Amino acid sequence: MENHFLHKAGVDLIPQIKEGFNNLLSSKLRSFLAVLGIMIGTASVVAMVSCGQLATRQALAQFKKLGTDLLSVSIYSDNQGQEQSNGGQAQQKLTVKQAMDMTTAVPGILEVAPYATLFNDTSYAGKKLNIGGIIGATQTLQDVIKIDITQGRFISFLDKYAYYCVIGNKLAENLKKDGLLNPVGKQLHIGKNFFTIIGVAGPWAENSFFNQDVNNSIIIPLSTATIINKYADINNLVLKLNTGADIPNIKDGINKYINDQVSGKRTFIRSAQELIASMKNQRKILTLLLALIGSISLIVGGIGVMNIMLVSVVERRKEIGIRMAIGARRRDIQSLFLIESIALSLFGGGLGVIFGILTSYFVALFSNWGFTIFTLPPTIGFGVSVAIGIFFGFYPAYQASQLDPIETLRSD
Amino acid sequence: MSSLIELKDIHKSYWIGDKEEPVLKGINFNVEEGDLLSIVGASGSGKSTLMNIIGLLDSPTSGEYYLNSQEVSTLTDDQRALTRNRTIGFVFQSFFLLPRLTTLQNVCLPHLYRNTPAQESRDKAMEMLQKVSMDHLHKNRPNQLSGGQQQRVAIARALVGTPSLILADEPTGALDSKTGREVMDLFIQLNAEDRTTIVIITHDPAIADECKKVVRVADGHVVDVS
Ligand SMILES: Nc1ncnc2c1ncn2[C@@H]1O[C@H](COP(=O)(O)OP(=O)(O)OP(=O)(O)O)[C@@H](O)[C@H]1O
Ligand SMILES: [Mg+2]
Repeated sequence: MENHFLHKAGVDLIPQIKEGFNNLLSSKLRSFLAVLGIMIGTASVVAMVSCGQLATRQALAQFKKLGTDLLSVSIYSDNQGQEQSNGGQAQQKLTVKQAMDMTTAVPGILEVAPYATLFNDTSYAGKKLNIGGIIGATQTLQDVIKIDITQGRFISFLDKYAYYCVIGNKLAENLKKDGLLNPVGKQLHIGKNFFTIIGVAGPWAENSFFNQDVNNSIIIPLSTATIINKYADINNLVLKLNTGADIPNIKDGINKYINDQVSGKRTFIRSAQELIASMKNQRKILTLLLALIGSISLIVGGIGVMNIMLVSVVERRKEIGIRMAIGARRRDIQSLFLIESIALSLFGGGLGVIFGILTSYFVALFSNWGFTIFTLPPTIGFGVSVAIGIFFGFYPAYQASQLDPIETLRSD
Repeated sequence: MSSLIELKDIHKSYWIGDKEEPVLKGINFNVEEGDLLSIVGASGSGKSTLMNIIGLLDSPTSGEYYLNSQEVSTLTDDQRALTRNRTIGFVFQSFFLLPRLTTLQNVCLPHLYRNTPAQESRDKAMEMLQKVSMDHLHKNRPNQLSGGQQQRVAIARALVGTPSLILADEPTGALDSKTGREVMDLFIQLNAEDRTTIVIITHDPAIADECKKVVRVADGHVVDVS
């Protein structure tokens, strides 16, 4: 026989791809619906993963602004232990001095901002104010949790037991509505005492190292707080560490120091780095979950492609037979249909990436997040849609290739 | 010189349920290169079945079939496809052009499965369309052509790969006698000019008369070769 069996190179793809597109164009509505299915699926994967990443970045940005070198310490009384060992004796309290001395006692700490929270009725010019709380703090708090001062000044160590206060941004705005345009120098009635306003804070971004909302609070000197309210204990500290500090070591140091100073206390310490790590981890799981939900709609889209290809194979049975009679090999028939389903998926995937990015753009816009185009979501979305095209296109294409030419030519 | 086609004791049966239904019951004949041969016989006598076997679209239940001295049962699926592409050209009763493609694209198809460069394949297709006098309608789609015109295009498609064998199953069956006549003249001309071997299945005695050789099939047997 002729030696043409020797060169069995595959069929040139370009004319096949052209043919595939012609076929798709000849059933426009059906192709459009298949593309739509893949597009929605891809768009939802891209949008969901993008939004997940944007939200993560947003949350991380807040931390970064604050500094990743923060540590928060909460002190609890170990109640049962206390009563047994001390026999009802008054509880020991951490003093301001003891708290401030932590910087020298535990190496690696740059600044300590101890604070106490208290609640006293507050009024201005006889009118009760709706406040979030009163914070007893030291000078260091301003730097550690980054409070801007727009008028006057912040609390200072020199204020000692003075009846001075700094008011939060929202509180200042509320007072402005009541006609107090220039609060510095005016007096607030807190509990039984009059406090002179010495400063107004700017808008403050909430953060998870400080459990009060500065915007709605009044800040007074910590020493003053401990004398006007007997329940005002230094139960919380925010610490700023040296960069690159050994966190586990410092945690141990703090525990030891506090236990040396006051007995019967337990501490709960969180570092920014641990928090970021666990947040990143949580976000990763969330993003993965979102990607999974998006993928479900992509799979539905893939089933749409498969459905359309199956119908197409049945409709084009005769064409398959004719092509086989002309000399198409089984794999040529298979690639004919596979190319069509991949083309549908590529097209749907491409549009889906665009729509997905647009969607995440609008979500970012309405949530006041910063927007960037990440490379990961489009890559995943596009890659998965192509994989879906191949996966769901394979079975119909295989079925087409296994048809018996005689039977298909006989059919009508 | 050996024959282009040698059929030795070809049997073909279909199974309907578990009942064997023999259609071809031992077919023996040869086709020589350059033959213009017709196969005639009553409806249901197995002519199309025989042609599908000769055209490698179907396999016999038993028997030997030599094409170019090669026993075809040893060929793989891909080799059979390649042989259909290069050695055989089909012409069917109802033309079987692809409705979505233009005349020219239809004639290009055999070359698509040969990796012929696009321009070359178009040139060859145009040349063939010229030969069957259809080049002026190369942009038309099949549904814009008459039956006779469609059959001419189908013949051009069968010829474009320069096969050594044309298999035509009732090529004039769907045409009126005048256009049927023209198609037959085309076959005679091709056979005379290019020495292309042509096997025509027909019911029409007038067409059979014009062939050099006639094989008569009845009830699964060759009853007469003349
Ligand atoms: N796939 C099949 N399954 C069962 N029987 C079949 C099948 N294909 C063909 N036959 C039977 O084989 C016999 C021969 O069929 P074939 O098509 O070869 O006849 P033919 O000689 O070409 O007839 P016609 O002149 O009408 O075209 C018929 O009786 C037909 O019913
Ligand atoms: Mg027949």
